[in-house]
Amino acid sequence: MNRNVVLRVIVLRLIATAMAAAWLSACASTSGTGGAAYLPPPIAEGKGRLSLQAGGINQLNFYVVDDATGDEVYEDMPRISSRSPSGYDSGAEQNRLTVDLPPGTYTVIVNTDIEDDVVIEDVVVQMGQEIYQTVPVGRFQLHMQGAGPIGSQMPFLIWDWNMSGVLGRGMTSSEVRRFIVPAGRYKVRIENSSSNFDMIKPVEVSFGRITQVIMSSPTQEEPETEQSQQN
Amino acid sequence: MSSMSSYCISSNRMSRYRVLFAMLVLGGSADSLWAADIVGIVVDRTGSRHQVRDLEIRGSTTLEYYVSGRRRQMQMARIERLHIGGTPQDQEAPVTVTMRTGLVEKGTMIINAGSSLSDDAGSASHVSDRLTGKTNLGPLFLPLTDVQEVLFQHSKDAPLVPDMVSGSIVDERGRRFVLSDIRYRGDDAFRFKQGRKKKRVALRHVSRLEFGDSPGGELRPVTITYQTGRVVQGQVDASTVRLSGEVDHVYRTRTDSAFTGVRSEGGMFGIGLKRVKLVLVKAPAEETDEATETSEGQTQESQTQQD
Repeated sequence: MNRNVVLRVIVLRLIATAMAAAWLSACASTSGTGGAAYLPPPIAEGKGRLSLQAGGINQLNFYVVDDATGDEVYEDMPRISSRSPSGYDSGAEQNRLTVDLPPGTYTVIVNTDIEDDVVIEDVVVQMGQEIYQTVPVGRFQLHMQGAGPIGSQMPFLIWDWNMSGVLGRGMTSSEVRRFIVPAGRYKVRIENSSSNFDMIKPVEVSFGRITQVIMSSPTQEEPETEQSQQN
Repeated sequence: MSSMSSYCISSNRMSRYRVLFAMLVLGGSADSLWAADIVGIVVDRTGSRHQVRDLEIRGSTTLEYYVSGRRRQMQMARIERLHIGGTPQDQEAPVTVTMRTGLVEKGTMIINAGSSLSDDAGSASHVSDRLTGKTNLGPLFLPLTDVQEVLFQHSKDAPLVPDMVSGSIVDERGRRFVLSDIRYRGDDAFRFKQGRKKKRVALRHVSRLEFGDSPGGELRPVTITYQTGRVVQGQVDASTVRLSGEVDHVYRTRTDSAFTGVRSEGGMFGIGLKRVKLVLVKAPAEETDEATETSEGQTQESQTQQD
């Protein structure tokens, strides 16, 4: 009986050791070189980490200014102009909103697709610590339904709510394209005088959401109807 | 009178020295640096008063309203009092904004834009029109339609930001115009680009803007000299191409009235980016000195007349 008990204990210990070894090797495989793509790298020595939280947005045009010296210590401008015809969003975008900085107090300036910037002041970075800073921006996307004769790429204007002034410009796209603006209310106007297309839509943008704006463009049938009426 | 087109958040208090230094070097506005911990008394339409801290309207410490049809964004740190008139059913209510400098602005403010047609927007995204903050009894959420008055309480250390700057503008023909209340596109800050980077600098921190020539005329180089002596290069969009959807008055304002002001001999002044060559801004100290000299001169004159 004693031998059986001893054998069972030995077997159990062997199994436990094997499981522990397997677990450790699994950990090693994720935290080693192969896992660098999955986990954030450790904070650089003598620095702290600043992560911007933009409600699901992975890339922003922003720069960081050291309040003590006034120097720009970091800059990242990956997004191209909202009015560029070649701009689109990719699902493979990596998060670029994390930056390691020496300890200090900073101001973060986030450029959006309109004139209004988001300025985050008094961001204190401490050595070895990671802080999260929320950026109150949201996104909207413009869908052109039945683009037809006017094409899928059309310039449009972003106005303030009362339409007293133009805040920014954009270009629609057949690709996925989202425009980043500070959370708030705006209006979007698309005008194409050659096709008599003029539409104004209100846009409410809130943090962490993507507002979908649907624009129905004139179909190809309408000009024919007009022609038949003229004839 | 001044407006702010940036949204500011503050997470910690800074020492005054550091704030002033950052203000000067950044070229930003001092008001935004003092945006933390907005405190005030909120009076609702039933007359109840609430002592509120961390006060925000639509989740921001920037107040957006319209004066003479033009959008204005003002940091709450610069406002002394906000009065909302009209009725709770109004979508846009008349407001009276009293600045800490004593300036009073009358305009309108959206207090209930949620009443717009819901099928205009394709998603359920909604901006809540409410005032939020903290009271001793807990968090406060008050619809803007129920707010009648906000009396802001500011620290004595908070600097008083001047409402307007004066100086002179020289056009490409060499003519010089002496102006007060100089503004750039209706704002008290000058916006420019450095590559993809967009920057803005409050005009009161600038001593000189010198515009260069560009062959195409679309983007004009500009040299910005700060009051501190720092010099920065940038570019501005001086295009006169009419954008599709741009109405007449917006187009004319953009092309012919990039810089506006009030002439010393009276009358409004406006000049487009195509024609402007030089903008010289008086330092606030210079203005104070001149005002003192003027008042002293007037006193001496009056004394002479009395004698």
